[in-house]
Amino acid sequence: MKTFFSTILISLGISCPLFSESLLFQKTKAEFENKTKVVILENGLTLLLMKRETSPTLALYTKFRVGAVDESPEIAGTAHLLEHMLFKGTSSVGTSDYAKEGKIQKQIEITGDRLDDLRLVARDLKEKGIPIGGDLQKKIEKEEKLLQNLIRLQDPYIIKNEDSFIYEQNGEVGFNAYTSHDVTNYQIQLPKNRLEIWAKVESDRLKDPVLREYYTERDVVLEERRMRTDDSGGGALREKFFATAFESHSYRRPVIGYSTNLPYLKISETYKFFKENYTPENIVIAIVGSQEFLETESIIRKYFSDLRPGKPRVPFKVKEASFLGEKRFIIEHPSSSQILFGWHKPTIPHPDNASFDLLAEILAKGATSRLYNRLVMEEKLAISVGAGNGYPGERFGNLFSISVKPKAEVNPELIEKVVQEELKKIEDNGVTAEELKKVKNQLIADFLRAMDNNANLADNLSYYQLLFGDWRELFHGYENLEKVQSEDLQKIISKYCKRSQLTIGILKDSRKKVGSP
Amino acid sequence: MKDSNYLISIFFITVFNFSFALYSREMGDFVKDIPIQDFQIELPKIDRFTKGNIHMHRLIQKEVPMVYGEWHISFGRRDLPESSLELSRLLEETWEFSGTKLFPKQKFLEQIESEGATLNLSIEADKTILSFSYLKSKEEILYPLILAFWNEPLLDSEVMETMKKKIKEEIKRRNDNPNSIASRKSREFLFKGTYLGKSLDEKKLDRWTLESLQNALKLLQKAEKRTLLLSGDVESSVWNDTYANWSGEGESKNSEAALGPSLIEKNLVSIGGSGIQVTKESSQSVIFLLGALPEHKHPDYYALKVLNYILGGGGFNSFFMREIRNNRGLAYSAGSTSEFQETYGVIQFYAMTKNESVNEVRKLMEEMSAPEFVAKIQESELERAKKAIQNQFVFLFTDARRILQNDLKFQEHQLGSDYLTKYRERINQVKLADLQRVAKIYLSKGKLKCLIVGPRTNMNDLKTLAPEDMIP
Repeated sequence: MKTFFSTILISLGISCPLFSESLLFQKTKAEFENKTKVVILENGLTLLLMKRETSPTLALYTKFRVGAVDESPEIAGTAHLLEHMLFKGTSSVGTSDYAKEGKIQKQIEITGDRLDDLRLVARDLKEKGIPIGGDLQKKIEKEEKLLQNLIRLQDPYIIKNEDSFIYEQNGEVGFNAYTSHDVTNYQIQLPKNRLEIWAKVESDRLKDPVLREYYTERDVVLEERRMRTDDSGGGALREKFFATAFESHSYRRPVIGYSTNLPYLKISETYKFFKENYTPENIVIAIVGSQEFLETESIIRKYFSDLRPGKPRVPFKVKEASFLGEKRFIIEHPSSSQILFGWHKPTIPHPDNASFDLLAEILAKGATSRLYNRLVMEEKLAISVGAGNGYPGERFGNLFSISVKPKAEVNPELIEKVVQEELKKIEDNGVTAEELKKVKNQLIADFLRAMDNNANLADNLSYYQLLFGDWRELFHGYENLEKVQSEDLQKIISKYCKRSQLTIGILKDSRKKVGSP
Repeated sequence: MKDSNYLISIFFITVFNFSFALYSREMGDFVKDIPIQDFQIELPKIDRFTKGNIHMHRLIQKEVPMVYGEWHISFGRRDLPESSLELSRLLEETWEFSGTKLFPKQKFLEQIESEGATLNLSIEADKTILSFSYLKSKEEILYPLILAFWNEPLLDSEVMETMKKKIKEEIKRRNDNPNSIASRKSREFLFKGTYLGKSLDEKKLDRWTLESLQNALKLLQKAEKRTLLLSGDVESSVWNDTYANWSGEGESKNSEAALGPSLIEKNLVSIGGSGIQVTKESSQSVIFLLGALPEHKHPDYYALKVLNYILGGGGFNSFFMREIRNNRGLAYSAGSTSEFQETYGVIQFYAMTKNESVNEVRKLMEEMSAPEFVAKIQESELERAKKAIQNQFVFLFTDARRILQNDLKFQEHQLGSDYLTKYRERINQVKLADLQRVAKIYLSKGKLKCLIVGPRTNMNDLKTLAPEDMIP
């Protein structure tokens, strides 16, 4: 995840620490520290509290250091599917009688796994052109019938969306979740007097989830994939882009999984993934808003202290090790043309990382950035440009990327030429002091705008605390950037943005061929 | 302040503890043991000043040293020649990128961006909004820049030509995915023949010249009624006493008439059959059911607000999400949205589903939005929705900019000075009979029309169009 807020904060510094903006930043940092408290429970769970009295509400974000990067290829999409499934209740929530329902649920899990195995065997035979024998077909039909009967038996016991009901009755706003390559996040905003309700529901979700309605939700995720990837030119391009840029590292796989494996993701594997990863040392809870620290801490301790610690994670063996050489691909999709460029680079806290944040801003932030000015305003080759550092995640080495939406008639090679030329100009000549000053002013103002929001704060503080061990890393990024000079930008372009390390993905509009809409 | 009408509005509202007495065991029982303390909230003080034709709404929040402003000018697209969308869009873009006399073309935006400020111009259907934000410490630099942007803009012909090409490319890109097509076609369908129902037309763009833009700009600059929403660290802002620089001359406008619900109804009926399908190569289809609602201040507003929540607006527990997503796994997203404006309202039921499920989902949507279905809604569903809406009320007051925007909207929609203080009470007064009554008026057979975007279906009751075809 590379959030708007984090981009702002990591990118805050320029050369002269005596600027009034720099002093303002130091003052803001001090105010943040005065209003923030971090508590680490005995089981390893981290609680981060920030007091803001702008309204009698709270933003509550629970973030887990688990995402798509933690999956093996066979279970691609499990972190995201699990995120959906954790809204399905527990043995206490979402059921009218779990003593009876639980027995049926167990049968469903056994039957569902068996059926998924049989369906995979059938798919394999079909792909090889071997007829599916009568026995296998009968077994599949029998298991399907059994599963449907069990689901029908379970249904009367299920209280649909009870967690959602509890929260809506208590005035929630923004009850939702997201999964990225790096993290999974659950979020909500509530009136301040509903904190204990939240703590009871959320701690229960982590202690005793029941993955009921699993097979229906798996279908929902397939619908989500159709919407986000299959029918979206940008989504399809990104999926292929990461799969091409990363040859060995897990960042190559899509968060949502593949249309080929999603229909077979087994419930037992999803439970296993939960047990291995949703452990207290992988959790940061951020609560921002109107509160008394002691009272909040006491409530969190009451409900979350009995979460049992998990086993320490083994560091990943596989790191990205691409063969040198430019990688280039074209996908065809019934949508307008787009181009993505990416170069491999190290992640935070590598000393070179901060320079890439600055480079992204200078190339594509705002109407007067270098690439926007040249591609959109001067040469009229494109309608929009973007640049970003840290894709698709920041736990491991990642990409510096540039995206361009060219005009329909423009040859992508022309766009590529301009992008390379602009990088070369910076590599040869550096950037001006005015450009550095502009970026600094933009970033501090963006930072202050983003600060004025409980939800943004909770999301970003929890992210930095979880991934880098200290929410203050937001500010350290600024201090690092104060040291970045024009020569540093020249150095990183020379070192990382080489043609031999470049991946280029082009989305070609398939409608042009067939003339369909 | 001389000649000003100073008003401080303070509301004290007690946030009550709504219990779960509604459901005995099943729903919400898990948290029944947790005591909830009532608390009282003080709604923010909004200062309102008036001088001549300028109104200022100010909300001071000094936590962050930023200033946020929005000029709302009573001149919109419907006041332009032919209510032209192409002209308004071209004016917006050309104005923003042409700069001022002192800082021509890119130099103006360089000045703005160099100071970390933002400036956005939006010519909307009924008004123009110029919004800005900047660091308080930069106010002395930014104020004259923003003033010059308004009073001394350059409209540059080269910039205009560049923007024409950019807008044409955007037109080419608007059929990229089913969602964006559905959103555009629903607007064309509901508001056909009015300034709200227009989509950008590539051929019409070239008709507008630099002179057309200059004339339109003059009209806009003369618009009489102006409101400034000012929030953030603004206690001693330069904006507090700058009325003279921002007054309009108040020339009469030649506006297209405001839209009413009857026209929307007429549009929906005029299509004949049950609606339209727009063909698009995709793996998933978008299904909309569209209908007309009354204006915001209409007495039926509260019942419709609650009904929308129960049917599709209330997230996971709405009927649409429960049946289409949770029970059947047919969609990732399904629900409804209601929109209430000063002179009209609309409701839109929606779902996105794989092409093979279109028939099933459409049937479910039609069933669950019909008055016969509403007649079966239980008292418990009504109570659930009312409590949720009432308890969410506090979130109207978490953000200063949103507070001011809502405050102005409530005034423009003529909702009365007691709208906020009575809001929860009026929601609470909604009865099952009200839901049934409004469903019969606004959702009865033939009132909702269908719009499907995706591969061609076998539904003969829908007229088939291509994405760029006009609504007949």
